[in-house]
Amino acid sequence: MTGTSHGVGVELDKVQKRFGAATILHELSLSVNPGEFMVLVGPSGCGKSTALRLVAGLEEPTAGTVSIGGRVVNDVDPKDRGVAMVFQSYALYPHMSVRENLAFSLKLAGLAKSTIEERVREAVRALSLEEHLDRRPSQLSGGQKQRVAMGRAMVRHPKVFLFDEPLSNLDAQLRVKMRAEISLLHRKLRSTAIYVTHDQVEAMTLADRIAVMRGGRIEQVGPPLEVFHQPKTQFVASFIGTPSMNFVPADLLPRGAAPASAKTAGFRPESVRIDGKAAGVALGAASVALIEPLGTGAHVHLRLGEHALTAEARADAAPAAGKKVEASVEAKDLFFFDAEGARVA
Amino acid sequence: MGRESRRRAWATAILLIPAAVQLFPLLYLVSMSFKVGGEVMAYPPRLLPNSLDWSNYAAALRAAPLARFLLNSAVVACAITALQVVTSVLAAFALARMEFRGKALAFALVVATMLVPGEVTLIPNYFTLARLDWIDTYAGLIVPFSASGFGIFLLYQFFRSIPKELEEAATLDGASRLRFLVQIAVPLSMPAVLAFGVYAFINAWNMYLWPLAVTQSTAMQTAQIGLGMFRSQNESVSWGVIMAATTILISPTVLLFAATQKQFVRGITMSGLKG
Amino acid sequence: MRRAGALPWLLLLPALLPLCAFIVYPALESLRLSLHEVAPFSGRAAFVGLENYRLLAGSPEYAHCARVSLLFLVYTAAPSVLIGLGVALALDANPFFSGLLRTLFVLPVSISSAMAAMLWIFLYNPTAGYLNRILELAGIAGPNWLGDPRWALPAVAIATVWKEFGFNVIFFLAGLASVPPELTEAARLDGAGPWARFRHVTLPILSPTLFFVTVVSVINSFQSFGQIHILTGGGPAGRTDTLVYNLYRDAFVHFRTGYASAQAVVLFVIILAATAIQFRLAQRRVHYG
Repeated sequence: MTGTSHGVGVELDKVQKRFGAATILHELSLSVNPGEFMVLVGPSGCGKSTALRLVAGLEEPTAGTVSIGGRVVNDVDPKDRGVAMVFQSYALYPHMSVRENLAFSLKLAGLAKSTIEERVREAVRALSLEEHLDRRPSQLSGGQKQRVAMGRAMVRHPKVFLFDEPLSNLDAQLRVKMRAEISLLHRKLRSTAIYVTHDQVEAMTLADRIAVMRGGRIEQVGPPLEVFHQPKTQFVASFIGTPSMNFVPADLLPRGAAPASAKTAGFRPESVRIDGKAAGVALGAASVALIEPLGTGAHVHLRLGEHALTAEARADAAPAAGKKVEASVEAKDLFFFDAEGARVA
Repeated sequence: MGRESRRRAWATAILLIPAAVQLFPLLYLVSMSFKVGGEVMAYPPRLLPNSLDWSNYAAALRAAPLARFLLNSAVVACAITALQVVTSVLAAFALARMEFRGKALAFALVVATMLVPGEVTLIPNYFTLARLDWIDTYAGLIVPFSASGFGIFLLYQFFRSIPKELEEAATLDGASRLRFLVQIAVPLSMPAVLAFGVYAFINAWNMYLWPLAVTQSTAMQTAQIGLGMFRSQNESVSWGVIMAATTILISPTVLLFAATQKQFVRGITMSGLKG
Repeated sequence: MRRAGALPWLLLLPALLPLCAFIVYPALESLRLSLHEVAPFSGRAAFVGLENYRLLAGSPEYAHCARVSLLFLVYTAAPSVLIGLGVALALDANPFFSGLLRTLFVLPVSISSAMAAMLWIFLYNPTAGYLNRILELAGIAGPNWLGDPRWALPAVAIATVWKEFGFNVIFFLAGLASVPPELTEAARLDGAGPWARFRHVTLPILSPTLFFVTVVSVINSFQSFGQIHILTGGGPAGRTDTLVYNLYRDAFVHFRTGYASAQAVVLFVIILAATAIQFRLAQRRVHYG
């Protein structure tokens, strides 16, 4: 089995996970298509890592089934599931060289020496690690360690790649670079990938589909733009998009602007108009609390009565702090949620 | 002279006298071992021998089965060290990295054994050995010490500090628990394993009360016991010869410790076993 | 973590078996024997209840041994902790030849108490030993160290401290290595002198080590045997007759197994109590970072 191995589907069916009295996952169901890049995103403690570890076989479900490639794997050992995982801390073996780290699993699988060499060379070339083969992990930079960790997953030619917040230990610049590399690599290998992150930018840029999780449940699954434009719940709306969506009580809007069942109205910072050209729905007079210049654009923090809002403006057109502005928003850019946080319009 | 080197000079000066006190008995021992004839008891005593006369060493090796004592000590100390390292590694790994029923009990048992002084176990162990017919045998000197609560505890601390993700990565790589232990946990814990090995060896080599109680024949006596016997049974033997014998008998542990003390201190430091 | 099955117990067995057979069982057996009168050679035992303990409690000899042990504790534990701390602090200040000096201080740790005793027995020799020669050069008439009832116990204690304080140095060095340098630097910037820095920064962080080392030193002191056996054999006039030495004699010279077992149990209780008391004291003072 050389070259690329096409991915297989992964299916979680009503999977439950409890630790003692605490329920980490509530009857979670999710199906990942063959070759798809699925990102599980959510705040810490939402159960996304647990879901990933259930697929890896590092945890056993309390109830429900996990299937990989159509086969139920609840009782299959992690090593026999055809999955490989990239850990947040990289988890490289500190006393082994890069070469030994990469070859370890292949040796354990009893592959021929020539095959092992071939696979290690292939991974090393793909990740440009040629010069570091004989170094120990402690002699590598963060980005290089990250590459070795990916290489260790690649050499096994897994059908499913699992990523557990793999970029969170890198600095911002490197994170952007590695994000792109992972994306390219996935397109080349065409295996299935499940990627856990709390960073919604990472989720948006990498994913074929995103699963937004909260409190052990999936709130919404869909392509990034769909999740962005059509959030099903107030939580999804607040979690996806940066800066975060603004929320105000629906009754703050002019009469008739909100449906009767709506409790909360939401709108993204980029749809707030403060340049004097009023849009359809007026929000009222707001005072400018703070300007955060970002270069071409700026974030404008507003106080609207007791509510804090964020708006986006061109840096050269941003109002000065302390100034009063009239804030408004187009009706089409408004989202409405009921008391339970479900989207109503 | 900068502040830093002034401080270093002070520290060095303070340490000179205690260092001399530490070193003197050892140097004096070696010096004595070269003194022959009337030189030993000469008054006033002299610090240095007249010549480097090795005859005391030859006499020591002739006068007592010193080689036999050394061999016994070596066999016993090596066997105990090997057994303690292996049993401690296995037990510490189970306690540190596995979940199982009865773990708290097993752990409490191990810690409790560290609190029991050797004197308390001496008499019943003597009877146990008598029942097994192990008095005056290697088995009797070795088997009772084949496990160490201290060793288990020390390595337990170390194994617990290995990140969980490393073991998970190994699991996905296809390593069994035992392979993870042998190929990853033990190599990563080498400072602690070595420190404990040195500690176990020195303790075993220096055992006194137990071998005194359970050995009878010269053929089974360890160096520690043999030397005492050697002194009491050979009133006529020159002190120079006794000091030569002592020098021979302390050399193995002194040299071992001098060679490994750096790693030993590092092992203790890294284990977090500071209280 | 995945289910482990029988594997953990298989891993524990090689250690637990000897620990149970040669420590747990004999500890309990000592307790049982202490309630019996055991015939020296047949090993037959007759239940006598607390008779052995009553004998102990009423024995002036045993009370004497307890006093000797306590005195020996004061002579050995306190100096080996204090000297150990002082030497470790000086070594931590990075003296010249620090590697060599450290080796020198910890080296005697590797020598058994019996061998250390052999080494000192000749130094203590009143005429041919060099110790009195040094004193003589200083104009002091040295005592007959091991033969003089007043000097025998201090002499044994000196040999013991010589051999043991290096062990404490190792642990203090380990403890000092964990004192974050930025903390002492901050104290320096705050204007703290060396003593204040030691008292308010180093010592609090070192206190768990200090505690550990003290407990171990106390236990070691109570258990000292080899050096007494070789240097003085409990003499002169019983001045170095400690609890452990007395136990050894009753068990293996006089073959009073039941009586010796009762002593073993008492010794265990004393050591446990000493440890417990230090734990109680430490709870208030020890600062666990």
